[in-house]
Amino acid sequence: MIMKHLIFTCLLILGLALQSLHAQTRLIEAFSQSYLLEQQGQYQAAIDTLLDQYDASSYETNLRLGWLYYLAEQFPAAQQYYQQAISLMPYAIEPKLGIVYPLSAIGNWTAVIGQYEKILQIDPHHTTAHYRLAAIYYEKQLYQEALPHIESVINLYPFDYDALVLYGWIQVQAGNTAKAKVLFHKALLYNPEGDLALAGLGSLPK
Amino acid sequence: MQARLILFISLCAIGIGGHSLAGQTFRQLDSLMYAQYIQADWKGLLQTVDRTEEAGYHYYFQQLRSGIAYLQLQAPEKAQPYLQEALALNAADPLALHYLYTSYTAANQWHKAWRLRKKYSTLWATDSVAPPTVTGSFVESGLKVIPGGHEWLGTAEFVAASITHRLGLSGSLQWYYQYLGVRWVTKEDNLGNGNGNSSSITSREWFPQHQLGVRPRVNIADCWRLSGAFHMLRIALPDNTFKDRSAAIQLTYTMPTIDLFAGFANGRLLDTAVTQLRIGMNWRPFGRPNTALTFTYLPHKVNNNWQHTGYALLSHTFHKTHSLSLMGNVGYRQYYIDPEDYQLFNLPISQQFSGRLMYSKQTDHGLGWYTGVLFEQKTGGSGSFQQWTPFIGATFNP
Repeated sequence: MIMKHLIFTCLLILGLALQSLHAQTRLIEAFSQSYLLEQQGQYQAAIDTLLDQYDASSYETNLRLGWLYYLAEQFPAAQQYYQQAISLMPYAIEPKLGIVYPLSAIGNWTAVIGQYEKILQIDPHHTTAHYRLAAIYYEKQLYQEALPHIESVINLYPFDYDALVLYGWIQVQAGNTAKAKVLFHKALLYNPEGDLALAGLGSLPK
Repeated sequence: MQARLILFISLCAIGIGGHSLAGQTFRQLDSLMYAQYIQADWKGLLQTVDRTEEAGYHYYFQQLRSGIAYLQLQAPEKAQPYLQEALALNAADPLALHYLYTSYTAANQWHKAWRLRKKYSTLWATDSVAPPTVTGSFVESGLKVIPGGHEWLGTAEFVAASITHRLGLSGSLQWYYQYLGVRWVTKEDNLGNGNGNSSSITSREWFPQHQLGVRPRVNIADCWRLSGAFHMLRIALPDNTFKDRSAAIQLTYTMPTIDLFAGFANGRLLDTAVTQLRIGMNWRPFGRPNTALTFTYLPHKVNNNWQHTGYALLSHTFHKTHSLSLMGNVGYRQYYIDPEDYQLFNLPISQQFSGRLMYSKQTDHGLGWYTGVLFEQKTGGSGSFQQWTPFIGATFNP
């Protein structure tokens, strides 16, 4: 009797393991197919491939679907899948960096700023979040709000062209022309033909 | 069990969402909305917005375009909730701020406009790093032709010019000059003194009037605006020249559809002391900025006698650059100025009605012209007259 139970349990475990292995293989195939279709620009087909294997508790599938829906310009759907990925992994930075793409595309910049601030709560030195926040505030003409973020980037990457140029333009808008001049000159050391740095220098009073 | 339930609900939500969004509905609708925005098809755009809202979409561009559409359709109060939502979805966005501010001013909601500017003062300050001293200037000239010998005014020419300075963010100062040239052509007394004596004005000369003035205007608090005026008037008549001065102050309380105002003025008119009180309201029915109904009660103290005058004025503008406006004016007066010795006399109450139909056109360069006809009728009191007067004028408002 005990033997019978043992054999039944082993067979059950083996069956479940095989089913799981088969499901994993199909998921890998679906992901592989979706990469191929993405390269060909067939975003909807790539989405359909993953939806056939969809599991709401799969962080990876939700993240990938968020990206594919974004490429297919179905931004609200992209947000839903990225949001699901965020719910599954609340401390992951990856889906937060992902969800800002569809949010930016539809212009919901308040939500974008919210996501970057959440990233900075998790990782206070996240350079991408700091740089993009500075750029968003610059576009909104909120130069004082942009300053601490761009300074955080510059402190970590003092010779980064993009950061130097953005910092320079923020200084131009704040009226600090001497500081701006120094920053644009530093940016030109990195890229002597940098358009934005040259334009920045050109905008300064002689 | 609870975790399974949450997972099941999440699955259902995504399943339903995925199904409704699978047909690229969002992209199609948003592209259509954008095309309608570019083509200025505002009514079509609003229908598309309804469809996107029914589909559960809620995003910045949708809200912003809806607000702009309502503004273009001359419905600023309907635009406001959309623009406020656009601002919530894209905080401190200069575009949404600009349109929201415009919607407040278009609806004459100066207190809200002022509050918005106050809230985003840093933004507005950086927006105008070097604010222009002169924020507006205006030149106008015109000719009014009075047909027939019924009136004692033959033609009236005028030139007016003004320059407006900004006083910080909450006020302005306007300087203006006005010249009025008047030609008197008949002897007939048409002012309705009814005493049978004809006025003895026979000259055909021009009698120039020059007026110089300054008008400060300050938003003193939410909803409250204080405006003033100081005038200097020089009138050259056949046998005398008058130099009159007057000063006025007015307090206005602005609400979404109604302005209440009260003012006081003191000065001299043709060397006669005049004190005037001014109480009234300006009503914009249904919040439409292009229609206004103004009631004004003007008690005057002329030579120590109180006179009572009331006006009701209806104005409606149909279009922006090609403006067709209709203005009606009903008044009651109790005094007149004798044209012979320039004394003010009391009279029985007379009713005056005037209506003006005016067409004006503005160009991109600030130039404009207008033409129209004025109908005036006076009944009761001591005499009556009825008259049509054509007029034409040009404006320059760079």
